[in-house]
Amino acid sequence: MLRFLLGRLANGAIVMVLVSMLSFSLFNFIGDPVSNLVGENATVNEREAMRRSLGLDQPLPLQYLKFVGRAVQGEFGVSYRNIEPVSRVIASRLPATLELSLVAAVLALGVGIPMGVYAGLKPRSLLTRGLQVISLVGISVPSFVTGIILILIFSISLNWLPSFGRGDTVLLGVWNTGLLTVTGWKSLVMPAITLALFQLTLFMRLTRTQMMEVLRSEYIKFARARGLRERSINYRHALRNTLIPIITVAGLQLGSMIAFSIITETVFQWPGLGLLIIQAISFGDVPVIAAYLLLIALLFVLINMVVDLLYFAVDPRLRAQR
Amino acid sequence: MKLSTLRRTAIGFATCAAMATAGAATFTWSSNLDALSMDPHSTNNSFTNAFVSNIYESLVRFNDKLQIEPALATSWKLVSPTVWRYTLRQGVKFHNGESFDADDVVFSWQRVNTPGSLVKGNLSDLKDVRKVDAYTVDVETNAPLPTLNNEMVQLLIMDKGWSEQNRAAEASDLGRQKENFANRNANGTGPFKLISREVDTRRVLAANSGWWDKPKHNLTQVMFTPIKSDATRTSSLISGGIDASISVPLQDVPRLKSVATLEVVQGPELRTIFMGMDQSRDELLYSDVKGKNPFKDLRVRQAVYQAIDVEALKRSVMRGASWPAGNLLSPYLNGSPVALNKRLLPFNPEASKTLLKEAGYPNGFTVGMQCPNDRYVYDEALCLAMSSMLAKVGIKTNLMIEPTVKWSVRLNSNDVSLYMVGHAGLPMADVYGLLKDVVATRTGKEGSLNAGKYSNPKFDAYLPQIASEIEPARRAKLIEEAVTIERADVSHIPLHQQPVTWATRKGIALSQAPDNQMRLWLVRVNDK
Repeated sequence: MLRFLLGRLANGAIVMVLVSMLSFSLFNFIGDPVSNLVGENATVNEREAMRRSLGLDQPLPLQYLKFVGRAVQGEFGVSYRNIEPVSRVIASRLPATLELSLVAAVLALGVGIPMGVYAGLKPRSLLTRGLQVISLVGISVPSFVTGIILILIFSISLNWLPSFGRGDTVLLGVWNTGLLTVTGWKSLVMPAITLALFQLTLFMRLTRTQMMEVLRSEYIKFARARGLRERSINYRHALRNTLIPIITVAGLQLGSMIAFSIITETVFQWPGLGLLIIQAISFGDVPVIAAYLLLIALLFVLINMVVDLLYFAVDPRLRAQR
Repeated sequence: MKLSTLRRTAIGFATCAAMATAGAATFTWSSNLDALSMDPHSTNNSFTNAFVSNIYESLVRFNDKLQIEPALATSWKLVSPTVWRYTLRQGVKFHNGESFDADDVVFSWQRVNTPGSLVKGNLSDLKDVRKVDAYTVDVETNAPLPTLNNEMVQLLIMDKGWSEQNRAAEASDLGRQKENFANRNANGTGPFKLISREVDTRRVLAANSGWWDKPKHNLTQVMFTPIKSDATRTSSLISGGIDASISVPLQDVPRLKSVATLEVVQGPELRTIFMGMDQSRDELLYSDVKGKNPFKDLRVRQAVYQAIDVEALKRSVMRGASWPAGNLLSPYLNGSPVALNKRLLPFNPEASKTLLKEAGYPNGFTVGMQCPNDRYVYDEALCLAMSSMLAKVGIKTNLMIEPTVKWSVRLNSNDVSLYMVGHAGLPMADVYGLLKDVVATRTGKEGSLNAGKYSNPKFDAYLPQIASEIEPARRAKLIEEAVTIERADVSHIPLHQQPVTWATRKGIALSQAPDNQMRLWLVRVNDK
């Protein structure tokens, strides 16, 4: 078990190094933040002075080594756009994204899996067919369209929900939460649905196929032959065996919801990491982009590790082999 | 600042907040951008400068006609050709209760010159600011400077005591990776105080009840909420989530006009959009012409001029909302030669073809066209339209459309052939800055946006005279002569002034000016 964990950690470290190198080599193509800072009336000399003082005139490998040297000490520099330490900028945005992603994940798993189980158990019922059609829509409509349609209905026509922002937030220590206020929840509804819709339909379809496959397997037939109750067959035996692929996908999807909620956050002006990164890219805010990419790499490494550990919990065969 | 002052300020803030929740005039507005910093000296981003001008003030200010009026100074006079004496307003208090005097002016001038400051370029004609007595300062300029007051607008005054106490006596410095208190907090003398700041979420301002001026506005609280997505901003206006937006996409104007509770406020911006051409390289980049540069030939530049139909651009790209330009200077800039604001050459594709034939390009040529896609109103669509106009006279363009961060690198490094660019003449709102940045020969200090490296020594000779001529009539004549030279050379091809498009709930008077800045101290909310 310990060896397994150490191996995973070493893998993760290699991934981090590769990601940081790759992301840094991309900065050549991002463009130049200088014009955004000094204004359009700046002279050639002023622009050059700014480039020099930001170290942008140095060769890229040198810039990379300096970045790594600072990053190892947990120092990511100052954001060009907000002139604030990058660590503070990211820390202030993390709660918004995590709350949004977690609520969306609960929605996606909590609704998607039961729908999938139902569809797997009763593949021919009318409700299943209806769900299938809906899921097809959910999987094929891009999320910015979903977001705008929701805004059209619930903000413009009905005027029930706010179309942007996070509502009122409460500061709990360092965590700025929107889950404790009415306006916070009202603001969360549409972004969470927008972010969850694709995942929800994905989980429904995945669960359904897995379920149907497991139900055809021999041990289910044996269980039937033994005269076990239908409920116990469906939920204790069949569902549990469908869970392994679902856990894998769920882990990765949660990671991508946190990392790539960019579109949803932009549509709803949700002040999280996705909005931060899209604005950093259009501003050329290199320190924020670099730190963000590292953070996301770390996140995926950790999620994969947790997923691997969950396999042990769900599948006894893995424990036996070790 | 003593503790008792602190407590009083806190009580003051609490009272304001209580008043606001009681339903007094709260004004919520939005833009696609957020202010970068609250430090009035640490960035030179036009939206940020405009935003902090509601909190910090200078000795003088612009009104909504962009005319200079007194602010922290009550009067000024010339004591020698290069020294101006300003009499400061007495009894002015900063938001924390401290008094304003000459020491704060001198301190702010020194702070502007600290390494992290990015506004010192806006004040580059100033040599020194000296205290004469507690309420008098002398401002010395490098040369006689008729536009000193336009430049002084950029010298926003901070409180010496507050800045030193909070270790913010120097501007935040990106180069040294140093950030300070003034980046996140503010203490000015202006009509509004900063209550809270959450980046990309909201800024809350409250009216400064102790403001020295009699307020024209009737706001008690102001909420600024940046919204990046155009569609979301528009729908928030319609659903009433915000009261006003100062970045309305042109395609949403008809939709907003159809809403009974909203109105659209539109006018020409100071910014003129124009096309530049590489006139320095011996071989044009991104072109099939080898060994020479067609844009060095005046006839080719005239041919491009006559091939572009600015009225058609106005009609079909700008949805009627543009003001075709006769030169690079908006008529609203101080000193603008309004008589020259008519097209030099008419739109005429046949004449254009003849000129190309005379210049030795009977079949035209191919050239790369560099355009931004997120910088100006409909920049990308304008380039697409011009591309097909130019094709009709035989100039085939390879469109090179890029985001601003990439396009600006090209402009800075002269990596251009035929390119779109614009300039608003800000922050001084005077013709000199634009002529210096765009038309002057490129050196370390001039011609920073002259990416095509147009250069005419006769024009350059006029610039120092325009900069230092105090007598208005003589200055106007110099400007007219200089612009006539640049126009005859077709240094650039002016297209139009783009629109400032704002929208607001009916019953709110916004006081829009051509510099696209929200002056909250002129906003009136009449009834809900």
